[in-house]
Amino acid sequence: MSEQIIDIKELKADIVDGDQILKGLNLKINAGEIHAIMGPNGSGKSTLSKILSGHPAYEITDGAIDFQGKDLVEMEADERANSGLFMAFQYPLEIAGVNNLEFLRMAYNSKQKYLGLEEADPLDFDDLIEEKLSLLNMKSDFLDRNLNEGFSGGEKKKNEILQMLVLNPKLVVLDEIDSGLDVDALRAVAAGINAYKSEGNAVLMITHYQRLLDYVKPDFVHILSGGKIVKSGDSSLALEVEKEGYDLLAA
Amino acid sequence: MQLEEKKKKEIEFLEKVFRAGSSTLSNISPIADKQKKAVERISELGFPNRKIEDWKYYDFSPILDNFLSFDTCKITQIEKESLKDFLFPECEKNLLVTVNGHFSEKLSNFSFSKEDISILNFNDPEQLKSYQGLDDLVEKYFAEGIENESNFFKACNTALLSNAFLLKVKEGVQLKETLQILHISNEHCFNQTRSLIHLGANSKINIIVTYVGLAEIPFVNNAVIETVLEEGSELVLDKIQDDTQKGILLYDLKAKLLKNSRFEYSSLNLKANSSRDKISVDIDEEGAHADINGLYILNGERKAHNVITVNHNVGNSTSSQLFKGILSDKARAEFNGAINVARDANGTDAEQMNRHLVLSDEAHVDSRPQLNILADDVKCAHGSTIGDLEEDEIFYLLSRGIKKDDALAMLTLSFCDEVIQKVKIESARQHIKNMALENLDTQMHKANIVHNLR
Ligand SMILES: Nc1ncnc2c1ncn2[C@@H]1O[C@H](COP(=O)(O)OP(=O)(O)O)[C@@H](O)[C@H]1O
Ligand SMILES: [Mg+2]
Repeated sequence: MSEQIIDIKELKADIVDGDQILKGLNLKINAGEIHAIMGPNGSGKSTLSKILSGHPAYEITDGAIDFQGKDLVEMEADERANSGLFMAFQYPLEIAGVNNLEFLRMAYNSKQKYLGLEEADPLDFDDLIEEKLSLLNMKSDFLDRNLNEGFSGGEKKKNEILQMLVLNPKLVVLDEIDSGLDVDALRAVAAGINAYKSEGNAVLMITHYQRLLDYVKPDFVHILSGGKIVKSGDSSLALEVEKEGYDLLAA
Repeated sequence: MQLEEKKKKEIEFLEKVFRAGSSTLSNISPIADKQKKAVERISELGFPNRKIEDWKYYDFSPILDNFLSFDTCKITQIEKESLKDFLFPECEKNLLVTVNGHFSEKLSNFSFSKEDISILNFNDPEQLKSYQGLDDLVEKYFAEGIENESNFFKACNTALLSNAFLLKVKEGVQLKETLQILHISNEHCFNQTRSLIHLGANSKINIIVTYVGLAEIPFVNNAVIETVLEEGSELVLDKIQDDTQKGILLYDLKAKLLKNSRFEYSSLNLKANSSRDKISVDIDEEGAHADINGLYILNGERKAHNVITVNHNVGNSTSSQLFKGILSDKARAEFNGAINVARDANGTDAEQMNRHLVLSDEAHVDSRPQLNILADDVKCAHGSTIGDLEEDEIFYLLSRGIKKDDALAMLTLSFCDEVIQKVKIESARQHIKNMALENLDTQMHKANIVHNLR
């Protein structure tokens, strides 16, 4: 039996001082698995990914999240990241004045430090980055620019995947990583995900479309609706969604 | 009662200025003439108060309470070693140092050719007199318009003139090396520093002026810089205010831009108990451009006042202003920036931006941008924002494993970055970043950040 990465049990969560968004969500992911979550707009997909990564705008009111034997709910956002959780944002932020390479190095070294390991030698780090850049078909001048500032939609998404590859997490949550990508960018992003994927880690993809799933084949597909997983199946479920829409399935 | 006490102090202050002013009269007559006019102007103006628009938010009590001994500023022994934190390696060869307003020959050195730039001390009449065209220059540009001077303290500086400097870059000379002018204070006194920087036609120089306090005692730095940019010349002037937490800086910069000249100015206020920057830029001929930038990082109960006037006296000229401030604790900032476009100054393109990052509820900002436009065909833009750090930006960094304190420091530095990048000297930029972090919350993991943010 393979190692369990995350176990989400009866998770209920609100927007702070607002509505309940997740209404008893269950999801278990083991090492080596790729899961896809699909669901109508506004069903709580981004909320789920932000809750997992510890965004302060949401609060968990009930349920439990076990992340590799640790209670995720009790952990700060930076601690979650350093313990191996990575979320690629649906809308990555532009941060002027923070250099992309410096940012990557800060993030990488934060994790090293957390794990009690040496900080990266700058030259070795540059080599590591170069390798990942070529995998994603990104030019190295991206590194000199400010974090996502003035990046196109596709470039932002690739930059998320670059961060993922550099940080090499245990579990990645990809929130609509495929939206706004042209075919070439979609291929590059998929190549990044496939290069990352191993028997020891896991992927949770949030998507609306089959087209990403053609490149990165999920083992399980779940439908999220009204704050709950209403249906789970294998990759054929995604094709059904494509054909029938969500309404029929959720019914 | 308290009011009477204050009045008494003001009168005492004025008497001291008059007394000291008459004993410091230059024996070069055009300079002495300006000094006499300055004394007259001081008596006309009287000690300033908060009813005057430009001083509306200024607290005079630290000056009145502390600095009645201002005629005793003395030069003290300082070893160069103790200055190493304030010296920039790029300027090693060209360094002008004053200590409590007095020129320090021992600490200064120049590698510039005397042909290219004349650096003259107003306190050395022999040297001054030998300089051809001095009278004309002084008459035209030294304390220009002193009869109508609005800044009481600039008039004081003129009357009390001690070691002022004339820096004159020869026509057509483009200096590659940067000059550092370092003004040190380490005595409890009211010291006067002053430079008149004249750029001949098509000349160019970079100057970085630093005001440094070396002792944790209160003092006032009453600083004046006047500059004239002749046709086609270019001046890059960076001012770093690095006084101790008890220092008070009164600063007056006046720039006169002639045809096709270019003035790039950045003001970094990093320490000091309070600073007041009065900046007046006159664009007097077409084709000139002024780029005026500022950054102040205030914590505790510190204050920064910026009173800025950019006058487009003729058209077909451009200017931009970018001032940013970060306030925490009970800090206060005043930004009072005016763009004045004269009648017929068509083709003026002027912009002004003022942004504040306010990190505490008890900090306070007064931002008053003003546009006074009398011409028709003009492009003017201005904006002003006051905000906190964005929660989503903080979260983005946290979600990549960066600690909260580090994330806050990074985002705060990134807010400053736009202004810091204007400074041309690499080691100065690094110094400013370090100072910025030091001023920000002490909990921040400085070492870590500075190490990673190369
Ligand atoms: N910070 C927030 N403040 C207010 N409403 C929010 C916030 N985050 C999410 N919501 C609301 O919660 C619901 C779920 O949003 P989201 O998780 O983004 O949906 P999805 O990603 O599935 O499209 C939506 O109705 C959305 O408007
Ligand atoms: Mg979403």
